Amino acid sequence: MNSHDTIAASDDVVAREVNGEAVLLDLASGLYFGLNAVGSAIWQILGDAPVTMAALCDAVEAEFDAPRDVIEADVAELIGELAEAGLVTRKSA
Amino acid sequence: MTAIRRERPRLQEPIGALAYDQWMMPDGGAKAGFYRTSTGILVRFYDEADFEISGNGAVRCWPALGAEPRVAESLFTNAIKPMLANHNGGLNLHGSAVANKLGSDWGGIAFLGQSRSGKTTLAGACASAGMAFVTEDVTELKHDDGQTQRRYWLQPKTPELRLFADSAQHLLGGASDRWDEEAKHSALLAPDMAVQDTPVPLRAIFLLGDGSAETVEITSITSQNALSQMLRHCFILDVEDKPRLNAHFARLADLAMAVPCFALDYPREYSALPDAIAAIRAAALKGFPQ
Repeated sequence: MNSHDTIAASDDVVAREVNGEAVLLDLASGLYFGLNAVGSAIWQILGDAPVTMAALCDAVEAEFDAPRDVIEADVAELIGELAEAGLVTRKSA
Repeated sequence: MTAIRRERPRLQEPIGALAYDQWMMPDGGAKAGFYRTSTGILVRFYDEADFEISGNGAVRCWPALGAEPRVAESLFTNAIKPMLANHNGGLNLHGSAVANKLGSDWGGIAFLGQSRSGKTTLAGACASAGMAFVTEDVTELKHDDGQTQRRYWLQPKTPELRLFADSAQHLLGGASDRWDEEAKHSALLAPDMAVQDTPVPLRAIFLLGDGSAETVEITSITSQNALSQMLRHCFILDVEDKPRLNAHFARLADLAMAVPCFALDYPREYSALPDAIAAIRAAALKGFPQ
């Protein structure tokens, strides 16, 4: 995954923060997903507008205390899982 | 109030369109299909009734040829009306409810679950054991924003139970001797069952398991988990109407955060009901965390 790839939340997903964690409902499949605090922060950013991987990592780095390489790996892993579930789309740079 | 125009029974001719949604039964069979028409939405309960819902919310009903008239009435009350209410911003869930008295206060308890998961039987058994019956099959909630947090109020419904013959035999005695064993029937509550006839504050929601537990199990569950489970028990008319779905999702999330939720499972044997009720009472006595 390239840091300039653009990530966008699917139009088929509705989300709600419940006690600090996001619960996502995929209207297309009827499946729901839970995200932890970091995932919820990422989803909140994605919910506003499509964003690049680099910008996503910048936002997470500003909010959570972790080394950049760990953040990049974790964000890439989460985005990969979300994409596999059809909750986000990736557009290559 | 939802008005209904009752038409003469008709043959359920094939519909020249694909269903955009279906209601499935736990056994995998389709209970109903949802179709778009030129004037609105047609909800077909297979071999039972067709309901045409126009854009302004008017409902026309055609019982299926050969179906008993009471079936269409029941579907209107227990499926179409809550779907329309939710479509218009209401909060109706598939479940039964009772009121439990602690000291001088009555607190509502809702049981949500899949079709045939024992919701009505449990509510009836609770009413037999000294709690008060509030509703069965459809749990309607209204809310107010109290001084410290949002409160939800259970709305009482007609005091009757829709039961299969064996459950009716257990709860009501001989009244069900001549019932068709394959269909649900409506019956008035037994004289010794108390009825809650005014709204009661909702204190807890129990999400019923599949009956695989060997003994009664009650576990507190997170709001996130409760929300995901509640999604299976809501009445949705149009799954493709994203703004409305989003709003309903938000209402359910607010409910899950405001009311303590528990997973409840017990063997689906009548002999297990007293233990299940005792466990529910014990949970209420310990105090449902707010």
